[in-house]
Formats: sequence, C-alpha cells, structure tokens
Amino acid sequence: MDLLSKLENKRDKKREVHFFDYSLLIVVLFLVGFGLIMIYSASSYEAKLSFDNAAYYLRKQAIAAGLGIFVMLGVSFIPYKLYGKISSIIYISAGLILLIMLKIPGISYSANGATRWIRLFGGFTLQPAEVIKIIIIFVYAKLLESYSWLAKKWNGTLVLAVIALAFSGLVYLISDNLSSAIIIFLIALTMSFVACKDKKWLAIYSGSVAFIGAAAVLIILKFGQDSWGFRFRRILAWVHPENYSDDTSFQTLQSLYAIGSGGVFGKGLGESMQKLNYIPEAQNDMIFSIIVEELGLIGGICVLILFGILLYRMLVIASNTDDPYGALLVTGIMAHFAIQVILNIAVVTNTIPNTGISLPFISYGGSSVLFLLTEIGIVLNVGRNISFKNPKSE
Amino acid sequence: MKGQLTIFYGIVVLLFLCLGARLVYITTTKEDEYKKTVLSQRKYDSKTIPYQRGSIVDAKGTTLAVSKKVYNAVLDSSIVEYYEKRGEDDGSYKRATADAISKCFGLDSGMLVSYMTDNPTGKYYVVAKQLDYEKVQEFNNLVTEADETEEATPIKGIWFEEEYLRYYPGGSLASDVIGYTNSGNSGAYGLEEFYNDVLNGTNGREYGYLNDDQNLERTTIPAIDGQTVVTTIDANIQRIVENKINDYCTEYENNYREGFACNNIGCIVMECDTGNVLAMASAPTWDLNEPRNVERYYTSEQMNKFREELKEEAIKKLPPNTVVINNGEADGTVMNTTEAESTVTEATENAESSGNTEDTETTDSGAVGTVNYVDAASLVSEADLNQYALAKLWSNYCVSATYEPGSVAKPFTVAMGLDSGKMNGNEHYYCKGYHEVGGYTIKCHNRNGDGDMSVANAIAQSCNVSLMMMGETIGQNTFLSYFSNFNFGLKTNVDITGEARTDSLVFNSASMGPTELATSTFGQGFNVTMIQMISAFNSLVNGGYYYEPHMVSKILSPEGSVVESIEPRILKQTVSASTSDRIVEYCNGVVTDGTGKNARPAGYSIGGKTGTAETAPRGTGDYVVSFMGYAPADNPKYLCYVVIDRPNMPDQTNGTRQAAVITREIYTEILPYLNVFMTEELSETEIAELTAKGLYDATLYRPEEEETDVNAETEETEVPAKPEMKIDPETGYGIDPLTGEYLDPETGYPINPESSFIVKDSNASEGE
Repeated sequence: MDLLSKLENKRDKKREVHFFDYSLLIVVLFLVGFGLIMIYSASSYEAKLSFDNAAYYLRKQAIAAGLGIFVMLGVSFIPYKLYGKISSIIYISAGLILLIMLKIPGISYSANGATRWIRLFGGFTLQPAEVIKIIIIFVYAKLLESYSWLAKKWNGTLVLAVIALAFSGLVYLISDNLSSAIIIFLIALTMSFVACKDKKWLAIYSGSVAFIGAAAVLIILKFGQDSWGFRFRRILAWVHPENYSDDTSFQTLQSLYAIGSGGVFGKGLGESMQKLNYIPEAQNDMIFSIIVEELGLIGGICVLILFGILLYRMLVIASNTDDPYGALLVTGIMAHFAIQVILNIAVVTNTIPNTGISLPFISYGGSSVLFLLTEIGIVLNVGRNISFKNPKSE
Repeated sequence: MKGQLTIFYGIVVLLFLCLGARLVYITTTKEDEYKKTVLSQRKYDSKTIPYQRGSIVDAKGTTLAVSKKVYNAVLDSSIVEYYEKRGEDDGSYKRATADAISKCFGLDSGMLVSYMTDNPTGKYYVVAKQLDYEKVQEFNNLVTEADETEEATPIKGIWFEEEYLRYYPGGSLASDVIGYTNSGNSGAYGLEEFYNDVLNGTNGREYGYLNDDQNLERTTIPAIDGQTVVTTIDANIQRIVENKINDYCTEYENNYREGFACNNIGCIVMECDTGNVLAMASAPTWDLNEPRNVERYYTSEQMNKFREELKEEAIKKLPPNTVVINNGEADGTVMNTTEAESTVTEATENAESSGNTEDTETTDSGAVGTVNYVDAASLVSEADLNQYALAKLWSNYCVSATYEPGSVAKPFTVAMGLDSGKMNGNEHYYCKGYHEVGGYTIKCHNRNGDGDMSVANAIAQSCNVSLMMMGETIGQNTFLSYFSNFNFGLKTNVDITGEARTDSLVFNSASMGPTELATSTFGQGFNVTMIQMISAFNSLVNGGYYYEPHMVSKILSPEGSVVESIEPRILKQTVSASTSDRIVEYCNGVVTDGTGKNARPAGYSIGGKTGTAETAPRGTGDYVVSFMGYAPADNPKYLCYVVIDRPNMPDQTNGTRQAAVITREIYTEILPYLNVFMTEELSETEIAELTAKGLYDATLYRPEEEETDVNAETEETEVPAKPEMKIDPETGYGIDPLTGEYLDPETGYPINPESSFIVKDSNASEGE
C-alpha cells in the first residue's frame, strides 16, 4: 500500500512520460482483424447453406470483437490495482456461483451435447470457464504477491494446489470441459512457478508436471481401450488416426489433410476445400488448419510469430513492472495465451490428442474474444504504469 | 521472478519452434499425398435419375405393360434434428413431422418420433413406398400449409424419391406372353425377358459441384428412357381366345377326375401372310401385377399334388439304400430289419427302372445293413414347392412345351408326297384297320378299317394306315429332308423367351427305321412345340412360304417414333404353291365332311386338321388332342391352333372334338372382328345362336364379293401359259421336249434336281 501511494506521488510530481505498449496493441488488432477474415473464409460456405447468409458468423464475431476492443481500451485505463483490492474470497465465490448456474435448467444452455453456457440478456451466452480463467489469474496474483511463502512451503503449495485443482476439477465435472480445466490448472501452475523463489521448489514443480504427464501418456498407450470412453478413444485416435478415420479422428485427419494439402505457399485465401463440409465447424477450433491450407506454411509460421511477438510484449511488460502483483497478472495472462496457442496448434497438427481448445483471437467465439481482449486491456494498463525513469527495483 | 518468466517464455518459444517444425514436416513431406486425398474425398453431390422402362403395347396401341412413376417418402431425421437444435429443442419439429406422415401415409406417429429420437443422424428411412402423385401432393400441401401458418411448426425432413413401378393394366391378359418384371427392371419370362434390353434405358445422373465462387452448380445428364415394344398381339383377339379357353376350363374342371380341365391347354392365332402372332394363350393365366401369389392361383389340393410330384422326383434321386418314411411310418408299419430289406429292394427296383442298373448291383451285394432313413416331409422344401408351382404357372405352354402332334402332322406327310413327286394325289389306299411295319402291327384309330381311301379321304377321315402307306412311298430320306425343311427339330426363333429345343426329340437318318417312319407319318414318335407346328402349317396353306413367327412388329422410341420396324420374314419355301393349294383342298374336306365338322363357325367356311396323339408311355389312355384351323377356307388368312394336353374326360380322344369346338368359338368372334365377310348362308338356328351371343350382323354376309374375289384370283393363276409338254406316265411329271428334264405339270417349272436325286437315293436304300 505504501508502494502504491509512492508511485502515484511520483507520477503526479514528476509528470514523467508513461509507457504505452503500442506494438502489443497493433499485434492484437492485427490478430483480431486477421481472425475476422479467416472466420469469414472458413465459415461462409456453411453459413450460406445453414442460414442463407454467408456473413452470419462474421457478423456475430465482428460485433463481439468491436465490443471487445472498446472494453480493452476502457480496461486499459482502469488501474489494475483495483482488482487486487477485491478479496480473493469474492472472486472464488463468484466463480463458484457461475459454475452452479450451469446446473440450473432455465439459465444453462446446451450445444453439441454439453452444457457449458449460461444465458445472458439479448440472446448472448457466456461460458463460465472463460470467466474462471480470469478469476484464477486474479486470485493467484493476489495470493502469490501477498503471501510469497506460499510458493516455497509444503502447506502453501497445498493451498495453491487445492484452489487450482478445485477450480479445474469443478469446471471438468460440472461443464464436462476437460480442456478448460487443463488450461486453468496450467495457468495456476505457471504463475506458481514464476512466483517461486526457491530453486528446490522449482525443480519439484517442473519434475511433478513432467512425471504426471509422462505417466498419463504411458498408461494410456499401454492399457488404453476403446471402452474407456470418448476421451481415451481420442487418445488412441491420436496414436493411430487412420484406424478411427470414420469417427473419432475424422476431424484430426481432415485437419492434417488441410495442412498437408496447403503446402508451403497455400492454395490462396478463400480457396480451402477442406472447409466445405470436411472439417466440421472449420471456423472454430480447427481454424488454424484452414489458415495453413489457404496461406500455406508461410501463413502458419507468420501466425506463430505474431503470437510470439504478442507473448514477448507481455514478457517485456511483466519484466519491467516494479509491482509484483501487476507482473503476476501479466504472467497469468501470458500463460493463458501461450497455453491456448500451443495446445490449439498441437491438436490441429495431431501432436497431442484432440481436445477442444480455441486459437486466441482467431477462432470463432464471441465470449472468448471478449474476455481475451479484456485481458489484453489489463496488460496494457499494467504497461501504462511502467515509468521510463524508474529503474528496475527488483 | 524475472528469471522464471524468461524460462517460461523460453519454454513457450521452444514449443512454438516444435510446432513450427511439425508444420514444416507435414506441409513438406505430406503435401502431394494429402493433396490427392483432399481431391479424392470430394464426394460430389450426385443422384441417380431413374429411367422409365419402355411400355409394351398391342398391335392397336393398347397398353399391356407400363412403368408408372411412383414416389418413396424418405425421412431424413438429421434435418429434423438440425431444426430442433436451432429451435427450442423440445421435440416440436419431430412431432410435427411425425403427425404429418401419419396423417398422409398412416404410420404410427409415436413410432416415428421415437425413431427420430433414437437416430438423430439417420439420413435415409423409407416411411412409405410407391406412393401416387396425389399422395405426394397431399403431403406437400400439408407442408405449405404449416409453413404459412404462424403457430404451426414447419414440417421438415421428408423428401420424395422417384421410382418406377411396373404396372400391367390388363392384369392377367396375355400373362404368358408378356411376362413380368423383377425389381431392378429385369424382365422375367415372355416379352419382358426377351426384349429386356430394348425396354430398359440408361439411368441419368444429377451432379452437384462447387465452382470457383463456391456456389453449387448442377449438371444433369437426363435418363434415357426405354423403348416401347409394339407386339403383334391384338388385345381383343387375345381376350377372346383367353375367354374361350377359360370357358372350356370351367366347363371341364372336375369333369372326370378331380382337378383342372386338362393338364395344359394352349392356343395360338397367327396371320398367314406375315407370321405375326395375333394371340397366344394358355391356361391358367395369372395376374402380372402379382406374379408370386401362389395362394391365389393354386388351391391347397393342387399344391399337395405338386408336393407329391416333387417328392417322387426327389425319391428317384436318393441313394439306393435309403428308406423313405411317411409320417414316421413306412407304408403303415414300423420298420424292422426284414421290412427294411424289402423296401430297399423296392428302392433298387426304382433305381433300375430309372436306368440306374450299375448302382443296383453294388447295393444288392452288400449295403443292406446301412440303411438310411429319410423323412418324406423333409424331401420337399416349401420354397422349392412354391418355385415349382410358379414355374409351372409362368411357363408359356405355346413355346416351351413339347408334345407329339398327332394327326395334325398328316397334311405334312401328304405335302411331302405331292411336292417330292412321289405321289400325284390320285392314289388310293385300302385300310383294313391296321398295318404291319417292321414287325409291328400299327392300328388305325378306326379299328374296323376305313376301307378304300383316296388321299383326300385319308386326310378328312384321318386314316393312319393310308398315311403309313404314303410314308412307304415317300421313303425315309425324302421324309427327313422335308421334315427339317418344315423346321421340325429346329427352333423357330420366335421372339419370346422360353422356346424349347426339340433337336433331340425328332428322328434323324440314324434313328429312323421303317416303324419310326410309319408313326411319324401320322405325327407320333417325334415332338414339336406349338409355335413350330403353327409356323410350319402356315407354310402348307399360304402357298408354301415359311414365315418366321414373331411377336413384335415395331420398336418405338420413348417419343413414339419408329426405331425399328420388324417386317415379316420369309425364311424359305417349304412346298410349292400348287402343293399348298392341294393341301388346302384336302384340309377343307376335314371340316366339310371329315373329323373336324365341329370346327366350322356359322357363316364361314374354314379348313383344318384334327389331332389326337397318344402320349408316351403308350397305353395309359392319355392323349394330347388338337385342332389346327385356318380361315377362310379358300384363301387362308388366319390360323388358329388349339392344343389340349390330357383333357379331363373319360375317353380323352373325344377331346379332339373340344379342340375343334374351341376353334369354332374363337373364329366365330375373331373373324367378324378382323373384317372377314361371311361366305356361307346362315341357317335359322345359326342366326338365333349368333343373336343370342350378340354377334349377329347381317352386313357381314357378302357371298357375291367373295366369289368375285375368288374368280379374280383363279384368273390370275391361269394367266401364265403352260408350256406344251408330254406327261411321263410313270411319275406324272411333264417332260421338257428340249432337255428331257422333268417338269412340274402344273407350273411348268423344272423339278428341283436335288430332290429328285434324293428320291433316287431313297429308292435305292429302301431296296436294300
């Protein structure tokens, strides 16, 4: 609290030039715009058939993105420290209430066999898992900043683990959404890792992640059977996609065909053949394969580089922020983006088993783009508070 | 903290690099393979457009068989599901669709709803088959109504698949001639099978593909419909013939023994100057729209009879040491070893009688101990039985059955004698009631003997003895040469499915001895088909022209233009015109004062020949009786041949009379229909009879015109002046004054030198 008032005093007194990360903003705007183009390209055929309106998905996404940019710019003016002033208990309760709402029939909304949305006014829907991703970032940033011992003691680790596991477990159990649960858990893990100041605990974190991951893969490969349910079928389909080409790995195989047939330079924007009914809902999770099919390897690599720049700008902001709370917020958001990009592209290239994870800014999904832009707004605000004159304190 | 952040970013970049490498790997190594895969898996939206199988129409254009367009209602529940998901997802679309289906097509709507719930991705479920257009229209009206009404849920997910259904408007009319059509447009039996390729067309196809702008473009290759077959059959004549056959069958059913009026009955009506078949019928007929309904055509007693027949066949095929058990017992007693032995002996005797002598010896020597028991009931399966019964029903007696023709063959023998020059028509024979040939005594049908017989009388009274004597005059080689010239033993190539082969059922020079020759002269010992017989007889009465018999006169395109016109085809001249005239004269005598008096229809003069053939094995009292008629008598235009196989009568030889009566009944109705004028004056009773039948028409009687016609013809024939020639006293032939060649005394043309060689040869061989 001292620190806060000190900083504000300094700014007021010296009228220093404050930092605003325009490069981050430009990359974000570029990605959002590019996403809209690709959504139109990927969805127009299906939209024309289903809704007799080729721009059906584009229109919805554009509205959400436009709203999101306003929100982002608005949020970039809200001092991020306000978020830290709200008790973690309130965040956690809000998250739990959202999850419970999924169990109330009148409010919840199902699509494609899963109940993952709640209804809002005016026909809009909200995915509680998206909100919980932000909540976990707020909660962990606050906890790790206020109680730095948490990340280096047994009992602290236990508290962190319980919160992370509780949220990801609840998301998985209530909304049957494994990918969101994994993302939530990995965000929490990354933030704990970054906040940790003890080398021994760092080793424990990374070791346990590597061990659990490897053990899971080994067990599944060795003993996995179809009867274990659709998730295990997905894993088996990942190992032998051609054996499941009719059902489970259909999407993955078609996505591989798209990427492969795109070649180095692609077929040209709008020329994808795989989006014509072969990749179901091409504008969603599999949009990256359409990008590669149409714009080639070059286009795909460019998208990866753009995300690399985006993450690099966040790294710069997090590194240059004196305030550990702000740095942790940016770290959490950075982790969120990085995990989603990596997992999405890994699924599309059949590097990991199929699970539904969207590509930030590019995949179709109104609430997703809205929340991601809000997160960018927070990052921008953290960036605003970097003083050029103030040398690094820590 | 900064350190860890950098490590984290480093890990992220590393993973990015891995993914980039993976992308490079996929795009560079799999590019060609996956490009092909992508292209090959493009399923173009395509659907088959069925062609319409061609119709079969009769000579007057009446449709006998036609393919009607019908519709199958197909439920695509994935579409219904799609609308459910877009809407409230409360099952309202399912209910609306199911209700509409149940309202129009009478299915249970609850069942449909549960089907859609259970199969949300099902794309193809046929809810109703072969619907008329009206039904489809009714359903479409419901759909539009629901679309236009605000409150009603739209009806989704039903589409109609087009199909053609073969329909026979005449029902059982000409069933054996037309045949039926199996699913997949494959004709079975009759014209449907013979002209299957002509009737069938080529399916069309509708392709949908995406153009550069990703718009669906459709290309349609239209179906090529099948061609229409115009038969020579006249539906009216066919109906008359079938009615007459039915009348006979009804009258004589259960007459002497239980069952049908005869084993088989067939009738062909043919046009003399073309070989066109105007009617072809046999009994029983069957509904072409329901060809497989066994119960409809056979009573259970008849089926049991078939079962017995099949069982006998099956028992004959069993291995020799097998005992057949009927209802768990063998011949009323429980089997013990000795009885089993005796039954085995019986079985071996059976085998012996079926020519299986080699097996018999081995059985006798040992295998009595290993007796196989076979349950009689298991020998004949229900499917076999049905197939057997249906095959009997479907087969066309007029072309598929072979039989011994009997006395209808006599005019052929006489024609051979006259045409070969071995006879001059002035011969007389003495019939003492039997004739001895090759050590056999062959009886005339008149046991007391017919006495002195002229050639004309021999035909009119159907005297076997006279004919045998003629056969001796003609000789074996001449007989056989004419025999094959009349096409006996060969297929007529009539354009209908199922014509029987008779090549092994006739004599050849190796198998024909004096006895065989003797029986052949009056139509016993060799087998023919009805179509062979009528085609050959046609050449006897129409001036000697052998027309290939045929059933189809034209093939029309689907639009109705003539694609192929099948003209009458003269294959050969079997006998000379003068011989033909003589045969006509003799056969007229059969009706005026011979065995065929009953055949004369009121007001007309006709000619013909009766036939009464004993079936093999002889002495069972079974006969095939027939009447071959032609009308008018002086200038034959229409042949009518009726064959009754084993009439249901105490003395089957009397059936000949029935065959003649059927011929008369047919002629009485078809001659006025064919615009043949009456030449004979009608008696009061005949007028009364015709009036009762509603057939009397005084304008049909035109004796004057007929007479002038006849005169005109005789004048014509007399125009060519006969060359002056001497008559050879031995043979009755004319002798050419310049060359010394034999000439035909009536036409003045040289006698075929080849045939005279044969005459000489045969004389020589008979001398030996």
